[in-house]
Amino acid sequence: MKFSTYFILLSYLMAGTGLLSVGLTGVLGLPFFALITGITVFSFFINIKGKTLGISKFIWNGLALIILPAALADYFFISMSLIDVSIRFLTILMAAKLFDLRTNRDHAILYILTFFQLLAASVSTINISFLFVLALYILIGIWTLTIFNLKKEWEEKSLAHGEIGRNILSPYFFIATAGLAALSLIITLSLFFVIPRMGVGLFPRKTADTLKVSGFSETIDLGDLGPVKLDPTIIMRVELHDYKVSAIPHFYFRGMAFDSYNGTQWQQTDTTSGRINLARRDNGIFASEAIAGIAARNLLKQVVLLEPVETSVLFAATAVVGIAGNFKNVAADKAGAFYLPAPSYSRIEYTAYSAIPSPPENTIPDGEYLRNVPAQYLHLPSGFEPVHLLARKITADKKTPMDAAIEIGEYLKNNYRYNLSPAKGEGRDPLDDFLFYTKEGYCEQYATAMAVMLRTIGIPARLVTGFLPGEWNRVGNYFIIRGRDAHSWVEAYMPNSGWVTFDPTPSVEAAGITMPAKTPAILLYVDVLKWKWNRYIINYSFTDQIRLSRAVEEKGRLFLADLRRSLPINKLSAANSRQKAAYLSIVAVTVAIVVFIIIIMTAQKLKNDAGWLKIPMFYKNMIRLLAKRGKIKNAGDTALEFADAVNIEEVKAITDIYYKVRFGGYRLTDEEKGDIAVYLENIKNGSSCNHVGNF
Amino acid sequence: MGIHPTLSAPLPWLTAVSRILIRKKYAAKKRGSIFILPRTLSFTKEGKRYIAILFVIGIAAINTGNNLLYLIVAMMLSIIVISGILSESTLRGIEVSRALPRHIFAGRPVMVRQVMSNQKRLFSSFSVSIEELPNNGFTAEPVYTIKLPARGSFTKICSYTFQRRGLHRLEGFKVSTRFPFGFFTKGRRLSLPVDVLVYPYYKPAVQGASSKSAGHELSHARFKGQGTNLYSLRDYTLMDDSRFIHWKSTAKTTRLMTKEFEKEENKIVKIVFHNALTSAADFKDRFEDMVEETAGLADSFIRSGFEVGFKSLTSEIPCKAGKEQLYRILRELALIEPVATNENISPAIKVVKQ
Repeated sequence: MKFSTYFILLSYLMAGTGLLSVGLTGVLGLPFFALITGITVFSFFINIKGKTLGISKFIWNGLALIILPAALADYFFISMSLIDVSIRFLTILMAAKLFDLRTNRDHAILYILTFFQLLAASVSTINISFLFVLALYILIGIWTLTIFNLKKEWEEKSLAHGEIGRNILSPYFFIATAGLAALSLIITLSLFFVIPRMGVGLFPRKTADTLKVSGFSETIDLGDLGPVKLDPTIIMRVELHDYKVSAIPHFYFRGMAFDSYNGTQWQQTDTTSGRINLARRDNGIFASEAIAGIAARNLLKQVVLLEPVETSVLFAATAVVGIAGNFKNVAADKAGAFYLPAPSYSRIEYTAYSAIPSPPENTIPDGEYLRNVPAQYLHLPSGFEPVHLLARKITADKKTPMDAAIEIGEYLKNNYRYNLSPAKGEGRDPLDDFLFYTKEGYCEQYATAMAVMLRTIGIPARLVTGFLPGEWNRVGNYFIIRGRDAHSWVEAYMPNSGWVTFDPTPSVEAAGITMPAKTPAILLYVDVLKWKWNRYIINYSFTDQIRLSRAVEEKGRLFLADLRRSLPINKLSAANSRQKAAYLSIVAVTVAIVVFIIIIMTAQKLKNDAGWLKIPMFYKNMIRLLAKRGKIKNAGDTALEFADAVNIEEVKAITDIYYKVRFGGYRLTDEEKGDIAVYLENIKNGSSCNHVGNF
Repeated sequence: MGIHPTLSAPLPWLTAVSRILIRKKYAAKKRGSIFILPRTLSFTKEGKRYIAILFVIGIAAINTGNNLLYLIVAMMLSIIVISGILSESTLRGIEVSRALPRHIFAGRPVMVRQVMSNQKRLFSSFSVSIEELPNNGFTAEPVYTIKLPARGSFTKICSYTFQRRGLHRLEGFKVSTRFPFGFFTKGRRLSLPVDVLVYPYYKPAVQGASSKSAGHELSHARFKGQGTNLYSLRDYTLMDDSRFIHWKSTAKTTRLMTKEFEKEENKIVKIVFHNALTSAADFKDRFEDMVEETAGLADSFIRSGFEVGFKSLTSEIPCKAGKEQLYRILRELALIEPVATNENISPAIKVVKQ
């Protein structure tokens, strides 16, 4: 492959990666994306053949100026989103640039455009695919930039491209580049976790795609949850720590409780004004007073990753008593639900602590039964006589509120049909339709019917909305809760047990409903990746950094402690004197051997390096004396050449002797040693015989 | 002077000690020793832009708290780290050697063989430039190679030009690279000191013009004798050595002709260079001109077969013939400096017949 072709291909790989990154955002739309891709491919075939469209640079630059007002119009009148406009603008510029790749500068501009596309994508998306695009960008970027730099330097030196091809275009080069890209990715992720999160957040980013989920506002109309129950969108993921949920009856993720029913609508009478701001405790948990009386083993800890939903309620398993998270304020209402001050428009993660309920008591109420229960939990408007009669009929032989509630629940499960789209009957209101006419409905109708029936017979009850546990992801060990898992149930106040959960809705098997097929394992893996991505990248925070550093510190401390324990020296104190002596002797001998080896190796190295040790001292002295006089022996000169260049008789004489001693094994006589001393003295004093130098 | 007065005046002592220390420090620095950083790093234009963009994105990440922007910042930082690793790997293990010609003349470009070798066993070096460490006395072509394989070498013949005669010290090389991304230029100093003796510049004279060199005429009469130079041609006699028959003229004249030779003259001269220092305004330039003239004379006479000696106020070289003698004289002229004398005589050149 010719070098020019190779280089064009690299530039197009960069362009392709940039296009892919903005494609992830969804801003371009499929038709526009397809158009740009087509233009890119077309330009590729033009460039690969070495042709151009014949349009001058001036016109290309003018085209960019024309696109700018269009982008501004897009911003002010159409999208009104700076990021969306920027993405479209960059993409169009990039496509135009692909037709104008003549000089190195053009290629550099293309690379800068693709980088800004990646940057724009990072601001617009939280999709896990961004990580793969980033990895691809790193690989192609390193490869391209390296070749680009070499090409530029080569051309600066006015050399031909053929040489680059021979030296660079080899599979080994690409393998090395891939290795470097992998290293770069590792360094990127390491730096990502280490760079301090300042948390200034002056312009916090709003996550796109806020989910509209009905049933979690301050009022709920009967029928609100119906459409939600068809929605497969993931609302949240909940990770449980160290507990088997099968041991908990009615394990639901509770949202809000509604206390007032007007015949068609449930409401919360204590809205935001009735909520109490909770103080953050020393352990970082916003907790209600109830947490104080609960042992840690009776607390169920859940880590919740909640998608951005249009509600401020914090979902958690029934009887939540504490919330820990990166929140400034958390409030709780009297019904036990926890709230943020306002809906969070970005994905949030928090840890919820719920009390594991103990089995309720089944007792006959005494005079204290209803003393502390607010009146609204018994209140009903007029016109519920038929419901009252039905309730009395069902619970005629039940002595305790618990038995009555269970009986009502069973009656509803067995006598009514589950239907997500119940027909409209002749009843005066939806509840009338459900109980007396159509006899079909879904969880909202079932729960409303039970709550109203309980109230008619004097048992305080409230409607609660939330979610069923959903699907268990066995790969990641967490629940995936979707829109279709939205649910309503009842909480009734029982003597000596407080608020107890009842669910009159038949199970899906009993209802004969066809459940959606189990999620294939590969999708579960993908979901785990998304979970981890959101948990450790998108939502990574300063708190996580502290946690990570503490974990590293703790692991390091444990490792060192284990190491110290395993060192023989620590076992030494338990040994007797003979064992100690033996151990110390072994250590001493080992150290001595190591030191001896090091000395030998060092001496050998010195000997090999310069051979300086072999040179007789008198010759070295002569060299030093001459150097002081400015006659320096070059490394490449032999002794004879140097003597000839210096042209001093004493030097020549000493050189002759040097050769005999060093290479001939000659031993100097005392007379010769004396002569050498005289020669050196003459050289030192500058009174050499027959010298013709500038001494 | 008692001890107390001496100690009470510390300033002279401090000055003396400081002078010694500073001189030693300067000497150490001159030898390229401990105070020089092992690597130099400078930003290219592209590198400055890269850092500016990194800075801006970092600020944006802090402002927005967007973790994906932090990821981009981390990626850009990792690229810098990778760049540092690769450029360091490129520079390590590079050795350079140079082979200078034996005889170098001022002002005349000489070809020097530079060999760049990669001592590393596994890794190649890419985009390596080497250039002599800056020195006012000479210019040298830089050398560049795109790839130096492991255990490989690259040889280039490049041109050096020394502006002045004398002893020049070549300290070594600067090895630098912009590999891999061109954001930074990383360099390393390779100490390879060598002293180079540069002969004075002179224009070589035309062969045989020695008697008229620079106005220093040497007139001499020609006599028949036993020398080697041709004196005349005459008819051959039986007494003559047949080896000396001149066949060309014999063919022309159709008579045997023999050569007669010139009497060997005593071709021994001594160039005397009176290198006295004067206070004339343009003395320096004139002195250099005289050095060049002397060199030219020596060259001219030696080419003509003379035995040439040299004498100055500070040195003397006995008369000898041959190229080596010329180089001995040129060595002296390379280093000769004007000397102050008590006599009021201007510097001068004289050629004295021996």
